[in-house]
Amino acid sequence: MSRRDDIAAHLREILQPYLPPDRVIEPDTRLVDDVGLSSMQIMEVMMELEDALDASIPQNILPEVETFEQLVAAIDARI
Amino acid sequence: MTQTPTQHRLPLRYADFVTLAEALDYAAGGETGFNFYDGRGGLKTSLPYAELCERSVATARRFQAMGLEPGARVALVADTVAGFAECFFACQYAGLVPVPLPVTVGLGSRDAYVAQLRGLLDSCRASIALAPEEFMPFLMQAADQMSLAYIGAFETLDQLPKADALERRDGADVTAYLQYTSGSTKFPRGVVISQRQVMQNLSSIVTRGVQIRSDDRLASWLPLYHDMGLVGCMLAALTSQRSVDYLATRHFAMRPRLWLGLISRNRATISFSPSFGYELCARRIRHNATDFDLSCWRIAGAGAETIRPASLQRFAETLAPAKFDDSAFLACYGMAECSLAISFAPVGEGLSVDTVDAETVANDHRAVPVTGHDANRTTEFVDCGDVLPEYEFEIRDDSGSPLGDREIGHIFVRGPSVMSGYFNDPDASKASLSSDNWLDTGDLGYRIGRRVVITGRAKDLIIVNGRNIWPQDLEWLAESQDELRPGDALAFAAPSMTGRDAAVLVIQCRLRETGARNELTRRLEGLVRREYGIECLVEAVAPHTLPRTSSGKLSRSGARRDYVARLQRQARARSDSEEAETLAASNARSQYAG
Repeated sequence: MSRRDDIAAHLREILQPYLPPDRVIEPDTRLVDDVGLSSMQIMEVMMELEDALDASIPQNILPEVETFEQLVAAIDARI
Repeated sequence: MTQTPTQHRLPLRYADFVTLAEALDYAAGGETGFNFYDGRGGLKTSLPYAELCERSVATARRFQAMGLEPGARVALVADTVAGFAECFFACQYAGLVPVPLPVTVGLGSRDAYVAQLRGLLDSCRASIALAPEEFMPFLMQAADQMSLAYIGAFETLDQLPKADALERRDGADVTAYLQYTSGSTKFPRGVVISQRQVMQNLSSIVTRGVQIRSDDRLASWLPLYHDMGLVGCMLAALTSQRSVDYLATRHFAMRPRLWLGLISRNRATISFSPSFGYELCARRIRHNATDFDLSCWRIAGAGAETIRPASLQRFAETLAPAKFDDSAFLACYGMAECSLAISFAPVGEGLSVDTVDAETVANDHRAVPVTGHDANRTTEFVDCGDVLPEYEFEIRDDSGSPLGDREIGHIFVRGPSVMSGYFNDPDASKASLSSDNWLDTGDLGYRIGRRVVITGRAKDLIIVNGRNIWPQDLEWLAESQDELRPGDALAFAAPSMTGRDAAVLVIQCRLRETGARNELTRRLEGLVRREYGIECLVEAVAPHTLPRTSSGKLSRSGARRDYVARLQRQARARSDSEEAETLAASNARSQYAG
């Protein structure tokens, strides 16, 4: 499994509890508009992701990111 | 690297300086200073005041080499880094006016953030704009096509040429800084504060508010573009020569334990937070509270938003195993328009809650104390303590007449630390500040002697998670949708049944088809979430049903009252204790009063 797949797998698992009942994660799922993450929930997700990957994720990547796939790619590029 | 010490030999001076630059000159004679910690709690930069002084003077000479007029604005993206402090104090030496700008790291927030920065750069007519390297792309885009004398990163300032010597331009009447009271994109308001005003307030904060001691050490995650973070922590610590341990706000939001860890490890004695910070800790710290020893924490300040006693109580219970003492809670009240502080509760006594009859509050605008325990009939307000002695203050009714003890009205203050006005905005200044210098705080409350109790906001500011959201911005967002027109939206804060304020946006909408209406409300909820990072309940009502004032203006308070009444009717109809948030959410989606 590539590192990118690894990041995606962790993120998918971490996002599960936040998903609305009728929603599954697709690459182009928008994290704010579709999943409905609030700014505080995003912080919780990032913390869990840092812990899972044992890496620190620069937070200035976030403003550029909208979808699941973009977040995975941005993290992969910066850690 | 080690952090700066808590104690040193320099005799403590209680912010009795004419200017902030003078205060730094004095602090530079000691060993204390600022310490910046990273997202894992490691010490990243230690900046003793001696070094801050030296670096600020050097930067001041670089600014002066640019040949700017005295009083020119220097916009600074106020991330919690040493570079911000250096530039802020460089302005103090050079007679330039620093303007702290917000830091945003919300998901997908780039466009909204750039627009916000652009609005602020434009509003303050910045000559210089600076940011940490990692925020430069946003700043560059925001300043596109603007004619600035200089734009660059904190990290590369030392490459610029210096003026031969520093021409000091500090003085009591010089503007100390411009503080934007909100991140409002469309309607920014910059509070102008002079050296005299801020020094007056700082001396009250350190002598009366926290009664600073030579063994005090501060810890803070508050943003430096916020008055409580900038004035209450950074400037109060520096002007009383105390060390501060800083955590960036976003690192706190991600890992609240880091805040408590810093306090515990470095034996910090003073740290402030809005209620939501205590709430976040209580929610996220589910185990291992005994990792911390918080017995050193003598002032756990609470302010900046409505203080929720239950949140603080829960924090105290969660952290009791860490020896947190709830008598450390200290309520305070203030606003950027007053430099910062207006009142402080007494040190070491914990929260004082005034339990009053809810009916009399609602119908008679009086706060009558009751001793009963019937929670349905009582309301709790936090006593924010004595108004500082330099202020005159009055509670006034709608017609402007002063009210007596325990009568609820508009809070007005007058005193030496009240702002000179809003920058370049005479209309807004006139609306808040009378010709004889009484400031309309925009808050509602009552007095008990010289003590002040806040009951709500008359101004329509929405505060969610410690963030100020201006209703105009939410309304503008709604009205820019194709389906809506100007005057079709009203935004306000309404208490949800959890006791917390939630943002509500009511739109009057001509769409007859349910599906299309739902699509619009959902779209708006998404837009608000993305641009402001908060949950907002969007409710569609029939055309021409938004309430108006007697003078025909749309009334936010009327819309709020209608909304609360609708909620209560629904709650009664359902009678059973359905989860409050679910109710509010479904209500917002389905109700259509047409």
